[in-house]
Amino acid sequence: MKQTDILELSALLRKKELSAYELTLACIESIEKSEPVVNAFISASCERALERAAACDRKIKHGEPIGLIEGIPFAVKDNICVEGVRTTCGSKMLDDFVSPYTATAVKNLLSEGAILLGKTNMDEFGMGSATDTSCFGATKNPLDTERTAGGSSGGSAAAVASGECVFALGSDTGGSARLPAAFCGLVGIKPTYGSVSRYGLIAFSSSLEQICPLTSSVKDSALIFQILAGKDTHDKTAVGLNSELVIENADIRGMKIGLPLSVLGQALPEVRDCILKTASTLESLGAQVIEVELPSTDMATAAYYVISSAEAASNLARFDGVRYGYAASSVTDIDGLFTVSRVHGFGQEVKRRILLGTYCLSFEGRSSYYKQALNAKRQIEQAFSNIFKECDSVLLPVAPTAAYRFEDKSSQLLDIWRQDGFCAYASLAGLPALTLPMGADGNGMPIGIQLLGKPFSEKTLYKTAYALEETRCKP
Amino acid sequence: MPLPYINIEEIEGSAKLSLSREERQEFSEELLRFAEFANILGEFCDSDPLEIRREDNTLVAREDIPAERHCSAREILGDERVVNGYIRVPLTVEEEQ
Repeated sequence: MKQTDILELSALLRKKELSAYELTLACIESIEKSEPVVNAFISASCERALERAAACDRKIKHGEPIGLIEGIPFAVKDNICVEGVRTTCGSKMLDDFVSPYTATAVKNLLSEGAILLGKTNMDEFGMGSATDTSCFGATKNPLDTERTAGGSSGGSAAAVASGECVFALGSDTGGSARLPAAFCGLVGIKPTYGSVSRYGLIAFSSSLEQICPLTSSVKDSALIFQILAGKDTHDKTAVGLNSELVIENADIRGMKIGLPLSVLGQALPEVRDCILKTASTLESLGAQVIEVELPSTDMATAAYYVISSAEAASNLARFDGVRYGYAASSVTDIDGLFTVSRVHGFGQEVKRRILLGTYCLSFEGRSSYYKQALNAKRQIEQAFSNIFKECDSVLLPVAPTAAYRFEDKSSQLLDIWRQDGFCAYASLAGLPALTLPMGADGNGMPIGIQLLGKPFSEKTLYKTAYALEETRCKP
Repeated sequence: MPLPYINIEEIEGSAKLSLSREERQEFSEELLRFAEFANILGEFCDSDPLEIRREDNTLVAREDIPAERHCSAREILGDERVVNGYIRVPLTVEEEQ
């Protein structure tokens, strides 16, 4: 199926020039065609989707009230719960786990008429940046299947980029939605911490993660974000402070955009060039670009890995073979059940993060690293707070490179983790960060930029991104 | 900052994991490399170096503090109370209350 905007498809559905059944069937055909190579989905519920599409068509035909995204097929990252649907987190540990309830974010989409096609592949428990730590195999980038789709929401991004669905939900802890969006040429947003309910998102790092939409345009992203955002009695951190999102125009004259030149050295020259060209475009649109200072990406990376691993060690302690998922057989005592279930149920990356997190929370690690990481988090929050006294948003790369070949992935753990530095800022400071493609590297792979804003300033980010997208669409 | 001593067997026990010898070697090295990298946090951050905590009727504080601090716990409390890098100060009855 060709990538088409939600708004455009909705108009066709309302005018009955296209049926939800035809649209869903087109997505299913794309799934059948792409999946043998791309591996974006862990499970697809095609029959259920077609039944729901037929019900949407009946509503439209009879002139009944319909939702904002009635009849639009979507996919959900496999760490987000849907009642009665298998939810694995890409892990052997949860291979046969069927969720007894539906996440608020998914419920919001279903109540607006969206059609769930299935659950998408991801790095195990969200730990990775190439969707290659999943126990269901790696997801390939549909733009070049020898390259990574990014991670951990690589399945969601690949599903949208290959036309297997119209939009998808991912989640972002330290760039897990922004990176795949950038690598697959999509629009992704990590909302302000507290914008979207995390109820039903299987926790990896509770103080950092958010559920995120992945779409092919800025307006689509704004539409889905608006449906997702809001208060939730099941998640007290979801405070619903966002104003109504209507992108009326692309006028960004007078806006001030911060550009932290000192940290751009961490990116490859073609990524740096893309950022500088984007800054020039923003200036040509009437915005003012101001140089700003940020703490180093290494500091953000270190703080991110300490905090997220500590929280992961705590959150994943529940997976012990007793209440959830994989349980080892032929063990003789309860300690053996815990240990053997975890040894066999978790993959290497998850074990690595649990060990790091456990160390960071130990007596020695707590004082040497965990408390200092929390201090670094506060310093980063303060640095942005100072920047936002003057600026409306900050322009940054998403990653130091565009999508790389699987064979070119570094064997050095620190090199891999350091690629998350640009994304870690917004995660640690709880800020909204929107990514959109603004260039391509020498291999034709998209380069994404990200715009960071004040807490709950998604509207400003969407307006700026829409202005940039409009320029990109012009010949 | 000196690299910490990391007891991987103790950590895997706390994490309810059991590693093979090869995994133990690999993860130990990775943890140390990360610890070295994460020392950057100490360079930038103003943590509480005294880290005073209470154990029963004793105040316990670290003696090894960053140089930029005006004075160390050792200077305040005296060398004789330093044991294995920690200063232990018994509380009086009034202080306990």
